Amino acid sequence: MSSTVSLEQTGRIAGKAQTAGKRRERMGPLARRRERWFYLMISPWIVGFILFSGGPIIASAAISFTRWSLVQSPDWIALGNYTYALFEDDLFWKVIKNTIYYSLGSVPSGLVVAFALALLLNEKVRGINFFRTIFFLPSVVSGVGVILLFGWIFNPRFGLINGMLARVGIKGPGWLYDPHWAMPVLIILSLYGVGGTMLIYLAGLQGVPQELYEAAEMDGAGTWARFRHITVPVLSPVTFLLLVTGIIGTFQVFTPAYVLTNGGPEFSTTTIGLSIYFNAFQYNKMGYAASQAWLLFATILVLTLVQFRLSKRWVHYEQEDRVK
Amino acid sequence: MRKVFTVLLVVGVLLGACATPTPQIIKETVVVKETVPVEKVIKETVTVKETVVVKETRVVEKAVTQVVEKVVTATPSIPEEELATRDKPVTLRIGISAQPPDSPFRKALNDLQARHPEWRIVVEEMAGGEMQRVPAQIAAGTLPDVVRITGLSAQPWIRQGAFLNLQPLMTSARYDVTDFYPGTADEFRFQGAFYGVPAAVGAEVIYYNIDLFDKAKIPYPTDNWTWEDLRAMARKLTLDKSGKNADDPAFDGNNVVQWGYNTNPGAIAAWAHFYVEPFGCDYCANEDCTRLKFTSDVCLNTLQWWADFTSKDKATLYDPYSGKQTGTPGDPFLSGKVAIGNNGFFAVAQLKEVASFKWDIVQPPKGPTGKRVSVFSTNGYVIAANSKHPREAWRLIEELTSPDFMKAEFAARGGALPSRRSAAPVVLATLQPPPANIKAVLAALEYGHPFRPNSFGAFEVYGKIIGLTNAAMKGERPVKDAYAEAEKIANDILIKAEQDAAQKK
Repeated sequence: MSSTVSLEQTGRIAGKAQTAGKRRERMGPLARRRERWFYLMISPWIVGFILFSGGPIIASAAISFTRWSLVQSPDWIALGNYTYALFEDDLFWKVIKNTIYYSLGSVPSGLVVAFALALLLNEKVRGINFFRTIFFLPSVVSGVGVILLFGWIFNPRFGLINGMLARVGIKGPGWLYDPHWAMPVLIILSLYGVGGTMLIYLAGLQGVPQELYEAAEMDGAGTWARFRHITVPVLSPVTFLLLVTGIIGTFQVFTPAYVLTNGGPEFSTTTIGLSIYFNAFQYNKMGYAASQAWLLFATILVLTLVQFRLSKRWVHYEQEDRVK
Repeated sequence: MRKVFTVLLVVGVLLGACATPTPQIIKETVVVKETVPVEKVIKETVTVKETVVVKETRVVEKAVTQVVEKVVTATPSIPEEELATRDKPVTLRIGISAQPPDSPFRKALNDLQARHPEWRIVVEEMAGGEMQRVPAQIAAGTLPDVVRITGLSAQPWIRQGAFLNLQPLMTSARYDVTDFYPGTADEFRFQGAFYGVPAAVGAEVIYYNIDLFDKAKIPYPTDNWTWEDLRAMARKLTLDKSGKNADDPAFDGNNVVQWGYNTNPGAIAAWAHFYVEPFGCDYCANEDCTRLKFTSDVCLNTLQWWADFTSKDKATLYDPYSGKQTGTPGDPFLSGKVAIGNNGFFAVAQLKEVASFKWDIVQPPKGPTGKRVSVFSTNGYVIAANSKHPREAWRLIEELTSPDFMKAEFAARGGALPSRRSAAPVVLATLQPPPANIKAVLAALEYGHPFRPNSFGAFEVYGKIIGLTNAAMKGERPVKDAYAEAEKIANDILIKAEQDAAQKK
């Protein structure tokens, strides 16, 4: 049975290839010209990618199998860096845990907050453009400046938060100086830049067909039901996109931890991005840093594939539904 | 023929326009007389865009070649016969940290360039910091001929062969290293050979706020004081919100507004010699400091002394620079909230700018052993191992580290000091106003020494034990446990670094 399927599949692929070949033969001069222009136009990006991304990517893969301080020539150690990371370096697992903690904390909360804000800013009220601007503004403010500002807001002794808590008789925690609270602060800080996500949701909301709401209303659906059964499913592709890019982004987080805590206290905010930097440029262990980068890549790849697989259960594409 | 001439002229003009604007020596004649300095006549071409008479018969408004003559004095360091074979200046690249165009260093370098037309000195500022840039340039084979690096970074790179062994050049030049403060020279020395020449040094000394001492009616510290004296003074100078000092039974250690002393628990890892060596604790377990031992009785007692000072007396800050405790980021001594502070001499420059109080300097206290310690922040010049012009690069270093250049670079700034005995006192005297106790700085320069460990793996050691030392000083972990763990982590890293280096050999 499986061999039959395989043959069928092979035949289908071959058929498609033949069709494509015939189609190309049938292409008129205009289409061929357009095709040439297409490749010409994208060639700067392709060349740039090969030179400045593709090359380093391949090089980093090779470097990850070496012990290399940058100063001396690299030594081939095969999987030595990978086995060290996975089975010997306790800190590696701690930074993986930290990274997952950050990702689990900041992605869902970011999506919820952005979605909620987008719903509010989708209302047709006077001055809505002003509010949209205000809520989007933090996304265009310099990252490091905002990060430093948050450092002061969460200063245990002189910060705004603990000052307010003290007024109601609560002794605030040490925040960035407390290993248990430092990562939650970074997660809260990540919400500050939620404007970009909000904007994408807002665009999505404005594309939801009004006839769906009207039909549901005629069927007696209330506000919650319309939200639950129309807004959320229709926006599920947007949510999926933001979830995938959000997880990729949070797994690579570097700047807030570097600026605010430098990975401390007690490595509680050392993320994988920070660990790669430390190993590469402070400890001169470029091979080990490259192996960590590839482990990060593998982790993100697996997570993304899992998300794509699971997306079939909850992501609804309008066009697809209509075809069905 | 006229056509031919016109064509030749046009071709000549076009070729001239394509030429590099860099001056090129086209001819040189060495004139040697028995007792007079060597002089040579050099003709060089310069491309200029202006109206120039060509062959005195035509006027061409295009880029043309103009022939100029000038006379320069030859440097005695390069043999004349070699010079005679040269057709252009040797390009020497020098990598330095960011320097404003009007900085004394730049001015001194411009003067140096003017005196050495046989060199073309190209300055490359090391954007992104040396920790990233230098290894990347070494890996790419593009490290400048001469690089000014910090002393703390030097040893790991020296030990991996990144820089030229300067000993043969120094020996043949009869270069006098005894003029350098010994600790600064040690920073660039490995297995008896020099791999760099120190330039700047900032010796760690003690600063005290005269106004706060006067207010508390406490006599100023003297150069004969001890760490116990410092602790006793710090307790008296540490005040809580209600003005009670740390000796008062009603003192509220959780609401301190003025601190007697500032240290940095992290520094007890990275700068530990300053704090523990006067008490008899040398945590370097071997001569090269590639093994550490914090858990000897004398070291644990010393570290406990510091932990008590920090977390029981609460008379010294445990996190001085973030502003967590003081509300002012940066050096708390500068903000006037700390009565006694330790810092490098370079802090003088900041104090001159921002301090609204009277201050002076005193030598670091003695420990029970009678010993006092200062540690150095230094920088110095090295030559890339693959430099194509090692001899010229060495000549450039000789110039950059000459007493005259140092005086020009460091005078009146109040930042770092020259690493030469013949230059530092002169520079100190140019400070306006100078600290009253200048001799304390000069004394510290004599006995100061580099950070240790400073071998390959040292940065990783600092990075990975700092959390433990912080916890110990804040009283969050017993000193014995924290430092036992720190010792194991440190030695694991250093042993692995050593094994890797051995495999490399």
